[in-house]
Amino acid sequence: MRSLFVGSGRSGAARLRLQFAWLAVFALALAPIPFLVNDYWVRVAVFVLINIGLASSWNIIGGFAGYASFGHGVFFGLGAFVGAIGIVRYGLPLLVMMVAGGLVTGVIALLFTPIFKQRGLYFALSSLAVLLIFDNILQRWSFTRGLRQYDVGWSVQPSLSLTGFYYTFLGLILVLIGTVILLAGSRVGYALHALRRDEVLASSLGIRVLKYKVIAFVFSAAWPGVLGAAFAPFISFVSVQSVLDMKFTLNMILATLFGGAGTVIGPIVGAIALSVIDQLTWGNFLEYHRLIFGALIVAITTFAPGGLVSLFLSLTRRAPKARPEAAPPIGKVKVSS
Amino acid sequence: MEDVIIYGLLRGGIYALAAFGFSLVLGVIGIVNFAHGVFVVFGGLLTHYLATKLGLPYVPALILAAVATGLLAGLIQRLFIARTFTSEPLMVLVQTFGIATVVTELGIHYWGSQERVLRVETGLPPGFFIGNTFVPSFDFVLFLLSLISAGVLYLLIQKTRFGRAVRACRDERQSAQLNGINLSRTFEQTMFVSGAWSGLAGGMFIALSPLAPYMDFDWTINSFLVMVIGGLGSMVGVLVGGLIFGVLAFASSFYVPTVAPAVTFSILLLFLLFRPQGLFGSGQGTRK
Repeated sequence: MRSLFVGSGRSGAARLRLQFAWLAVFALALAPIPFLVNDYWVRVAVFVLINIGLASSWNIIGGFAGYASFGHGVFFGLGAFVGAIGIVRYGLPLLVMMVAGGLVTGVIALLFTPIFKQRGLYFALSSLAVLLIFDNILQRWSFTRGLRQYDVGWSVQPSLSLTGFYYTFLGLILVLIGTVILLAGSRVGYALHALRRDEVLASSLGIRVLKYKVIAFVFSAAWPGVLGAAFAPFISFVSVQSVLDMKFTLNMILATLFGGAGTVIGPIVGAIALSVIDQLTWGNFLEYHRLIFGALIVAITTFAPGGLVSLFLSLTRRAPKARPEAAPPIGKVKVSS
Repeated sequence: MEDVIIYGLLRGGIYALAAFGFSLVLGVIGIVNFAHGVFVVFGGLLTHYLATKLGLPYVPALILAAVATGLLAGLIQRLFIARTFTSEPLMVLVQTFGIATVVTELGIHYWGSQERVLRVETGLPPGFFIGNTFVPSFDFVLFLLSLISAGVLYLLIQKTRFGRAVRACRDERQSAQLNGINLSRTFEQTMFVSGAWSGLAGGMFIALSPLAPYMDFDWTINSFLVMVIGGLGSMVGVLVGGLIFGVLAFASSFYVPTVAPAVTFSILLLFLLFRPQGLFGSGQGTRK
């Protein structure tokens, strides 16, 4: 609520500067990783970066706007298909395909406008339905070489070294988080904040609710497209099974909520924390990996429903200055009847 | 054509049975239970276990499994959902998703991940004909059983003291509390009923088609689909929705097997866009 009234005065600008300073620290801390650890861990780090990027994108629609999209993985998968098809069939460079991936998914996201009539669970399930429809189309359409009998998916030659990919993704994530910070502090951010709290009230105040929802959705769809296009040569094999898995969507949601939805830092913290948990349980208790993962999710949601960020803040509540971005309760996705 | 409709209807009763609990919990407690499919699968596999390992006859195994599933559901409500359901619906989604993962993993660990079917010896004649369509009598008996269970649930909600409390909590939570209805207990009982009827659906389904722990999410989605078609807050709607969904699912996997999920989900999408209150929904309330 408070950030609504902060406006564009000095405190807002100061906050932006502070956030970008933290972003720079984050960048500096991550930059030397390829020189410190072996290839395996660099690969892990790339996946962590992708998770951060996906969670931060989902957070725009799910956290800021309070519309839980359960089909968001489709944009990542579509981006990967765009990347793979462009690189393999047309021989275009990766950079072009990253832009194309973002454009294609952004435009497709625009087509979702009708389902913004829905709210809460109905929206969630509409988006899930769209995901499954796309999943089916990509699997059956010969242009995309779904895995039918004679089709083998797309083998994409990696055009960069592992270190190259690491810095590509690091760069993408930094720009992504930068745009998220700017968006959160802009008119759009305030409008989303208002409509998440009370959509009727927001629209009665003259906020064009639908417009901002669509902006948020296109924004949060375009970035996964970009990441997906870059992901295609990184994993070097693109098929519906490898890039349109439900787990990408679930990871976005889990990481965001785990960290704290509706905050800039929440998805970052959440994605890192989940990846660490994932690695630790996977390495040490392979058989119980998913079990421990699930149990942790239950534990966090049951005992710290605001996510890690709010848990942290409630432990350090002594600081008298409440931070404006400090985890207001996440979106009221109204499901109850 | 005729056979597709008949076979679809026969399955539809079970789909409706599975969806009642989902709709009830969403209406009364106001949460989307992503662990709902787990109840169906759990009930089915427990029925299978009781019937094969302990050698119980089918019907006692079915009832016992349903009660056990209900207890599991009530326990989940008391230990986990009761702590979160008031604050953030989105969080409950994630929470129940986590619960679903845990139960499914435990199920795989102890029961194995293979698909199982229960063969039931009934001693009934093999079946009869409707027009040119052969109807296996066991499938038909299960269909009747599902209708009877739906009727029992209807009486439970409409005619008993418990049902009145449930409806009061659904319609006006605060007033219900002011009138001395114990909210958390009613919610636990609601969850028990939801689990029990879902377990029943699972126990009946496993006698016809295979079930395995990994299928829980499909059942959650199916239940949601049925509810969307029928409409939130209407038992008749869910029953009709289940029957329609049964025909739809059977028809699409019969005529266009490769794109069956896309067809079902396109229809879901059309419903959500043009008739979000479902066929029998009360209109207001569903858009909240």
